[in-house]
Amino acid sequence: MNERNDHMDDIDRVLHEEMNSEIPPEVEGRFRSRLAEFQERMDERELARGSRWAGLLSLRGNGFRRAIGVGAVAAAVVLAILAGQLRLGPGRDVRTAPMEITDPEVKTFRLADGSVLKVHPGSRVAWSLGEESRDLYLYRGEVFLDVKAENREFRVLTPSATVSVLGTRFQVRVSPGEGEVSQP
Amino acid sequence: MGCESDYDTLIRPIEEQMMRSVWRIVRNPEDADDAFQEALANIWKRLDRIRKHPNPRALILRICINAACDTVRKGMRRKEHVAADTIAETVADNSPSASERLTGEEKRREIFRAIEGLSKNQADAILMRVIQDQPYKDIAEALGCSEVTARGHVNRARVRLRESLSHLMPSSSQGADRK
Repeated sequence: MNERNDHMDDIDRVLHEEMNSEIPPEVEGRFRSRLAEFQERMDERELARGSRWAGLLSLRGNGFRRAIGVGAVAAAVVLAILAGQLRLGPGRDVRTAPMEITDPEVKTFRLADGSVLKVHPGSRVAWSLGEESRDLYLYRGEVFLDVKAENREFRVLTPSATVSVLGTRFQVRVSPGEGEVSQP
Repeated sequence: MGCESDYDTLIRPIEEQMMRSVWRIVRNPEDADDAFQEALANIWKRLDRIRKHPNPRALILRICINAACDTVRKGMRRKEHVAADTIAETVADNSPSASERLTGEEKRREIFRAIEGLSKNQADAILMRVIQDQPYKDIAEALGCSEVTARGHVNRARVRLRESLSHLMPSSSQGADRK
């Protein structure tokens, strides 16, 4: 049975004619950037759930994904080591949507746990401070962090590496193809 | 499989359908952007449920339709509030492009009102069928019913829309092919 022809009747044609329309390029552009943000959020969520382990162990996929997988496993190992000492943190501060610093000067944020985050112009960051973990996502650019010492770890996740600390001051820079960590 | 992410599995294959369905229903750049964000927010909220669903992509497309319809509904309510001003401006504008645009918008508004008059399942079913070209199997899974019931929803929606939109039907087809 031809399902389409069978049911493409007069009212369907009216609806098609009145509602059928190509998406204007500027609208499609906006939709695509929403989808890109959404993909980042989904990837972060998966990252946090450690669901990339299977991909890492199979050693398939592109370098970026493998690097993310390595970061997730490294972070998970640190978490496992710390598991006995974890305490619930005081503040929850969730900013899941990535934020881009377009201002020409460094922007300073005081996070809910008391850590200080300085973000350089042109950087793209997001953070999520939950009860059990403190995560900063650095997609590109440079941040300086003065992490409030706590038993729950603070992770900086970049496309190529994950840094886990409990409390210290350090700088992370992500430039195309690399991630660099330095301690002042 | 290996490294396929949730996004690769659930969203990427239907990106075009998601964008197209929101645009075709909303047809206004600002509102369409709002509707698309709303759809993504709803998908995000129900992600765990979507993953476990027998047909996650059909469910996502249904969520897109619902977000688009909600946005159009809100827009229509907003327009009703400023109707008097709008009518005065429209009457003063006699250019052919303005009247053509208005006619198209008015027709779509009537279609939407007629769709709003359907039951929720009938409305979703007919939109998934006509706007998204979804097979009955997928419509049934998105609605959580049998394929026979999904066909019933679509056919009943057609009958009711034919009645309420008879003035929009091409005269040659009126009265023909009535089931």
